[in-house]
Amino acid sequence: MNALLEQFLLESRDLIAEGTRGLIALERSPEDGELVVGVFRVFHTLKGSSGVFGIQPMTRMLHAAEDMLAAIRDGRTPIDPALIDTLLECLDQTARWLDDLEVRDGLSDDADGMAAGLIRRLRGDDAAATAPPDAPEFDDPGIFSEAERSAAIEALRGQAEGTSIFRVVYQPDPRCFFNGDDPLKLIAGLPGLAALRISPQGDWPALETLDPFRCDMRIDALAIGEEAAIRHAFRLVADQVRIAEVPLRALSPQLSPGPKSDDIVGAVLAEQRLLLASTDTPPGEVAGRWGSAAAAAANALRYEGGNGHAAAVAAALAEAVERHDPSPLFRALDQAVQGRQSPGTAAASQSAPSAPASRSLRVEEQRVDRLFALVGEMIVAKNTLGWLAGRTAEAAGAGDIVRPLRDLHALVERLTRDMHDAVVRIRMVPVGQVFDRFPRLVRDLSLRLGKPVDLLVEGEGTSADKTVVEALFEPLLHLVRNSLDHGIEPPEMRRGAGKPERATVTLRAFHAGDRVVVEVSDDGGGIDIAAVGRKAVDSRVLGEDELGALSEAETARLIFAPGLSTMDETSDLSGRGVGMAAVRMAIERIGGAVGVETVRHRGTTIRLELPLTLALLRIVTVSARGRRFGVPLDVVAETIRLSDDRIRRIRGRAAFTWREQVVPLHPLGRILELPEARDPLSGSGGDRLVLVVDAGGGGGFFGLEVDGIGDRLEVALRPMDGLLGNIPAYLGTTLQGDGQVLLILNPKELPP
Amino acid sequence: MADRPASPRILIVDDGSLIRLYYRETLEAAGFEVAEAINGIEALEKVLSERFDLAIVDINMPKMNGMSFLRALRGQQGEAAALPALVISSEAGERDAAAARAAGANFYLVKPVTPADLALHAAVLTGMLA
Repeated sequence: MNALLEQFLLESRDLIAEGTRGLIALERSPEDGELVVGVFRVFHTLKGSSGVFGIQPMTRMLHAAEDMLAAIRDGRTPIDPALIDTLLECLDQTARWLDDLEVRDGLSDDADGMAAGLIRRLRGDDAAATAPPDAPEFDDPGIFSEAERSAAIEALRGQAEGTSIFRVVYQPDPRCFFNGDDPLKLIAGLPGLAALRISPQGDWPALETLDPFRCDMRIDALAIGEEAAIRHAFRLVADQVRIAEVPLRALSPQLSPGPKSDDIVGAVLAEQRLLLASTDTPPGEVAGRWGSAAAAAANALRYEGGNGHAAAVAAALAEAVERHDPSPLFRALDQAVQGRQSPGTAAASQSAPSAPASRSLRVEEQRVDRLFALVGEMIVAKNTLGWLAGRTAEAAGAGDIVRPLRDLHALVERLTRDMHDAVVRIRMVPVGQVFDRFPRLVRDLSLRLGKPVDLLVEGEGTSADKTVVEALFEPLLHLVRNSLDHGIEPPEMRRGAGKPERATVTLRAFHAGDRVVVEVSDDGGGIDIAAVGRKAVDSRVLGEDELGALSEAETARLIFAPGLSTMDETSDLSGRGVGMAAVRMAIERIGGAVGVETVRHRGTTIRLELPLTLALLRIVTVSARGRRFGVPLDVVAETIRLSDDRIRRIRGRAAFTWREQVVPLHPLGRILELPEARDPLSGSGGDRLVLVVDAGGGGGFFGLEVDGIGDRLEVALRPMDGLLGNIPAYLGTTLQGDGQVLLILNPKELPP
Repeated sequence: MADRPASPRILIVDDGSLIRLYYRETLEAAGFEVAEAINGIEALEKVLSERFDLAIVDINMPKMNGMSFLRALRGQQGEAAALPALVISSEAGERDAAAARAAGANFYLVKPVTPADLALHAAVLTGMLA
């Protein structure tokens, strides 16, 4: 992609986010003049840059929106939610168009129609009649070859003023032959015909149903001439013809990219300095030259928002002219150049739409991902080195080499770990990236539900690994929808309960140790814990007696159990009974944990605890029925050998006693339904190998029976994606030293 | 924002109608107001009777070429003499840029200029987006 377009996309997306925030704030405080000016500037800048790229529907639409905002600014139009809605939609549409531009270098076919529709809505329906009448897709000359288009441009050269290239689409009436029309003769007689395409209007019918007396064609043409002359040629069939002037740019072959435009302002300033420095100027031209140099420099500075420097240059000009000495101008220019290079001093740019000037580098995501993947491979190689060192130690007569090999392994291990940490740090992004999407969502939801809600966002600068932050959106969306839909009471109920009608939902993020905590709180009705318990028993999530043994907090946690919903009816917004379980699974998949705190009539807080980074995972390899798997060591409480006589049958299920508690025993091969191998070991009367696994979430322990236990390894986990991403039994995969892929189990999800 | 006219005015000075059309299309789409002159004499008449924010000037033109126009412009009395001028010429080379500068040009671009570059330079030289 062209670097300029890339920059345009980047900045425009920032502007859209800024504009969305501004509009939502404006809806709340319509009297805030600064907000209006801020939003106006966003639309103005977007329009300006879209014009630079010749994206006409976008420019037209943004122009109309800008007019509307000017009217608001000048007090000619009041702000109402419908208008805010339309302006937000303009930004949404702009965002979609930017996506189109990014993937296929052009707008979608319906762009003109979309723009016209939004413009009509911006101006109110009464202005509909004055909307641009031009049909969409129409001025796109893309169906003509580049050679035809170049020839048309060539033919236009040397034509009289007022001559243009016109696009003609002629779709003759199917019964035109009976009216005495001859479309081909008509088009052949078109003055200045430059390119022609004839095609059927739709698919051809089968031969036996084809009606040869029916005219089924569409004629596309380019014609060079004056509009009146071209219209005249079609005067008898005017209702079947569309004619529009083609913007020359649309016909031009792709122009080669010009000079690097990164720092036009800098180049312009430098050029003015050269202009001022030239010595052989006739005396009569000096004032004009200095004046033009000062004007050009001041404009360039103003373009960047450096109004202070611009004013200084203008003042220096007066002084220079008075003293017949350009040095004040040189000084002012040099100061301006310095001011640009060290922002923060003097007049820093007020208009730069970029994020606060932190000294950061924008790097393409793929590059960092590539680095991350490479480090992952290095860890694999490092593990292979460890394995090799081990083999060498076993081999006889290798005494001298074992020690340096082990040292080297230790060094490489340290280096890869540091490198992994460093890369992981690059991948840290603020959770604000995800939080930013919620003000808009909450606004729209709250309007739809008729529940006024304020969204508070705290700690949006808290950062975590990109994967973690990206994986947060869906769960947070679930939680916020739940809060608005089920948590927050209707306004009349809140009034009755003595609460403020306007509810508050808070998104909060903070660091706690090596974890990042993200909370969604509402001041709604809280969760009916008794109802959750009843529902859990009804849904056979647990038995009546088991429920009795649970504390309130433990009962509340049951909302995360699969197959449980406390809502009797589902709505289109949320609640199909899988919501909270899905949230829990999504969070656990990235190594996190969920929690809930709720107080009846006071509100609910859902707490997500997430790893800060995807650090290296320590695993132990196990085998079952001839296959190898990895088990994260952090869930393994102990590895034990069990003789058969310690295994008891309790209600038909195998269990054993471990640290004075009864622990169920599950063979891994059976859980995963692996095909029965010859199974040479377990029948041989030896002890069974069992990992005692902490099921987490107060679920107690269980024993995982395996056929063999292998190495302990440190691995870079690759989360599963695509279809496999939905299998809860696996956390992900990792590459082994021998190049094989090892599946890492998620033992918390294993018991059947 | 309020004290400056919303659309800067640009005078295109070029004898090629195709070029003028192309510049006009591009600049108008970018929000500029555009007037045209086909040679230096016509351009001089225009800048002395109307207010402009920028002149975009070709070098090779009949009757009065770009260099002569710029010298004549800079020699005028009054505000018009200080009109910023952007020279866009098909002559690439440092010598031509220097010659344009010597005649009083404020910036120099070599054809072909992409729409984006044209609009950006016009915006910078007129201080448009501030």
